[in-house]
Amino acid sequence: MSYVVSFLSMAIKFATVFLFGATGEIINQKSGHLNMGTPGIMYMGALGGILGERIYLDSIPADVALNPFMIVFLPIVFAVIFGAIGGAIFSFFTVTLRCNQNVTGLTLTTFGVGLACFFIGTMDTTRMSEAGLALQHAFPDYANAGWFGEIFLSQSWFTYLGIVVAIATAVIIKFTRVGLNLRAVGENAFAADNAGINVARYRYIATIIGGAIAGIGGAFYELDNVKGMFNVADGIDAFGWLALCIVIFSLWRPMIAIGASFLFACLSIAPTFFAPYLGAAGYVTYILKMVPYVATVVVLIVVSVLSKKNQAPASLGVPYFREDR
Amino acid sequence: MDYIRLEHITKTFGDVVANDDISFSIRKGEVLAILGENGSGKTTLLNVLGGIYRQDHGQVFINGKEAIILSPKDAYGYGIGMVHQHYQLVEAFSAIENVVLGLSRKELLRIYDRFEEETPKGFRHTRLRDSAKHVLAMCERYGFVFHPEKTVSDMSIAEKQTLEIVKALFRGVDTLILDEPTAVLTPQETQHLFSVVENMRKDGKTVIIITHKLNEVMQVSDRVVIMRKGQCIDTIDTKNASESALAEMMVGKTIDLNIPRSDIPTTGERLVIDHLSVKNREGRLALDDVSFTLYGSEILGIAGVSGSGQRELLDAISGLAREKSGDIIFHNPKKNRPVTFFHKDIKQIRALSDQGKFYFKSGEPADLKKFNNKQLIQLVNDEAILFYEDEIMDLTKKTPLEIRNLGIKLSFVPEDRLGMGLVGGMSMVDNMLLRSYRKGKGKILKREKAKSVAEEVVVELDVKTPSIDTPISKLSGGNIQKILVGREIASHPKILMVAYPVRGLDINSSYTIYHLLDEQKKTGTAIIYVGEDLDAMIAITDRILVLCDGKVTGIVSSRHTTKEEIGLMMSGKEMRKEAQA
Repeated sequence: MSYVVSFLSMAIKFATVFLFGATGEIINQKSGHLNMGTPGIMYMGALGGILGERIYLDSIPADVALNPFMIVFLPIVFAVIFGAIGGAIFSFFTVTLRCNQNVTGLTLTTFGVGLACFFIGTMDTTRMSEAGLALQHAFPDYANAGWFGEIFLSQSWFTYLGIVVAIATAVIIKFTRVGLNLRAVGENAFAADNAGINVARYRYIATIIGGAIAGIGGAFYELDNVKGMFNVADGIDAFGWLALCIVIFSLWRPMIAIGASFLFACLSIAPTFFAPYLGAAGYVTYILKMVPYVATVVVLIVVSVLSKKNQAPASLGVPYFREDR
Repeated sequence: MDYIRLEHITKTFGDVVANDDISFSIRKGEVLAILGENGSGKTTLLNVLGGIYRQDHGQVFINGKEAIILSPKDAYGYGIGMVHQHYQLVEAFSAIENVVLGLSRKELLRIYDRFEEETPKGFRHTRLRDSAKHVLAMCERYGFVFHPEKTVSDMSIAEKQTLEIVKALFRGVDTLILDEPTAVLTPQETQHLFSVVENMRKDGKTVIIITHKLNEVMQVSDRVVIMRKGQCIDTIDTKNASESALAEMMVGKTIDLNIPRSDIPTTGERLVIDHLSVKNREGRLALDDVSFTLYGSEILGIAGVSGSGQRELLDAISGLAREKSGDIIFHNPKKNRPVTFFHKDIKQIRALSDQGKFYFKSGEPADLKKFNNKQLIQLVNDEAILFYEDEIMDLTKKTPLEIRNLGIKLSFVPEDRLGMGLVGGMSMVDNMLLRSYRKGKGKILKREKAKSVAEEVVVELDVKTPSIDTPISKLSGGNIQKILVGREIASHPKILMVAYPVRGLDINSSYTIYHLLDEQKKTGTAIIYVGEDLDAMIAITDRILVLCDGKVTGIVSSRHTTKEEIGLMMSGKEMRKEAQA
């Protein structure tokens, strides 16, 4: 029993990283930006998160206890800023300079990974692991609520924030005027422009907000899972690529992305989690690691065969320039 | 006083001058036609007014004040709305979502205020269903049919056009620009559109119609602006104009507006289509139980609203469509004929002779085993042996290559010239080779023959090109079309299929193409003509087959039909079939 509980608790923690990345990317793609820079943006967010934590830790005397609000708040603020900068870079290249989205995205990922690894590696790690442990649980008394508490109440504030952001994104996209305009930009930028929507502004803002959200995911992974042991920091970009898969898997719907993130988290931690018990059959873990990618491909095929409604935004990846028609 | 005034508008794209110093004025409450051939700069000019393009030089004055129009939103601000030729609608959205798209709550409430005297007070919410009530009230006044919840992708072309007009009117435009509004409509839908235009004029709106159709100008407009090659030639009152005078101004020289149609007897069945059904790429039934017979020396027109199955019909006959049922039977006009170029491959001739396909001129079966290769080639070159072709050939399950290997000369001029017909980056010679590179021996291409065909086409069809080695994508649409048609005709087809052969062509090129088709008819070719301009189709074809939603709604003689009758059949309303040519 405790075994299952700790597995699910761990899965939710990892799902948080996926969910931030996927929600951010959904907002990007709804505006027509196929942002393959998300893995890099998540890395930049991680850099921002650590920087925020460092600034807070440096600002207090060494013997003072950590403030549970500040160790969460400051990293989020910096992760948002760094992620937003990533999104702004992408928009500047694709909207203002009209570069190819795929090339820009892939370059941004390479850039983001390199930038973050360079600076994270040189960061002072004093009290970093203490802070990592401190931000792990939003409700320190979770154990009183039995297995339910172990699974659902033991999470960090980041997790709850992620779910709130995903739900809010879903509501905004589906029910508000801004959401309607955003979807129009992603579906048919020419029609949107004709209807008086500022396409460039919508794409910029959507990509910057999406980048900011994805950045929080990177920061959470770095602070919570790695707990300041930065030499093992690499691997966030893998989360970023899977987040792109989740976007497709969840048919561009943030509400489904919540479940999909959990599922993908289960699949990606299963190999590490079960490895000690598999013994000679350890090679199975490699097959398990493949499952999320295979599942995405299967969903992609099934969706494109069965349904005309649940498709990618029609203008996804298409640059917009008014006089090009 | 002038309501809108354009002064010295110039717009260039790279080296191309689309609009060259154009000035004219628009009066309030009039219907103004902008007449010009394709590529004369009509759409570019009105796009400047609609906020899509920004002019390089010149100014726009509205009510005497200079108007700076930098975006479609600015244009709406000046009360100018534009319905583009390619509708600007979000396919995945419902009708009402498209109408309110991009409007803020404040803007919506301002629109409500305008309607307040007509609609019951109290609707101050800006949810979709509240806006829908206002839109419906407005539609009732103009006589539009409007379904707020219907998704755009489920709409017909005419419904989409109505939605575009509703969208503009709801935003309170005073001036509505319609870009080639009738290009995709049936005659009935066109008449309905013109009555809507009339209603708008009565309502005090100004309507600008961009068109290249003379009869529409005469019917609907008060004044007409004639454009040619980016320049404004003249502005005249429609009541003082005649069709021929307008045509002359539009083209720049006197032209003969009579489309030729030779009255010659047909030469027997050429192609029999029996209960043909074809599924399109999405798996939908695009052709449903189509049967007809095509005769030699006739032009059969295929009419229908675009997307009624014309494309699938041609694809099916040429062997491109895979998912089909029914029969496509080719009736060979000549039973015996000299061995053609196609069969000069020794191996192929040997294989055919095993099936007993060759005869001497005397009628005796020829046993080619007796001859060695050299002798055989001599015989072929002397045309001393005849090749017996099957009289009836089933093309239903054949691919284009198999059809060609059967020796059937089937030519197809597709609607997508540079996509399906020609390769834009290659020269004329190479494009000619595309059709014939399989002929001849060896792996090295023989260019001489293709070169001579290319030279022939240039001379005979008056293709304007710097040289036959120029990449054809550098040429104008009319010249590209001439090259394509010329290449297909050069192979002396038994069946020639042309899809929208004059689309995008200026009047002169169009008439060249019409004459070419008529010449081909005289040589005994059976021609299938898919077109959109019904007047031209009635004039040039012998019979017209009408498709509606993949079904045949009628086959009529072009000499005894009217545009209206065909229009009714295009919308599936009437069934009349005349089997004989």
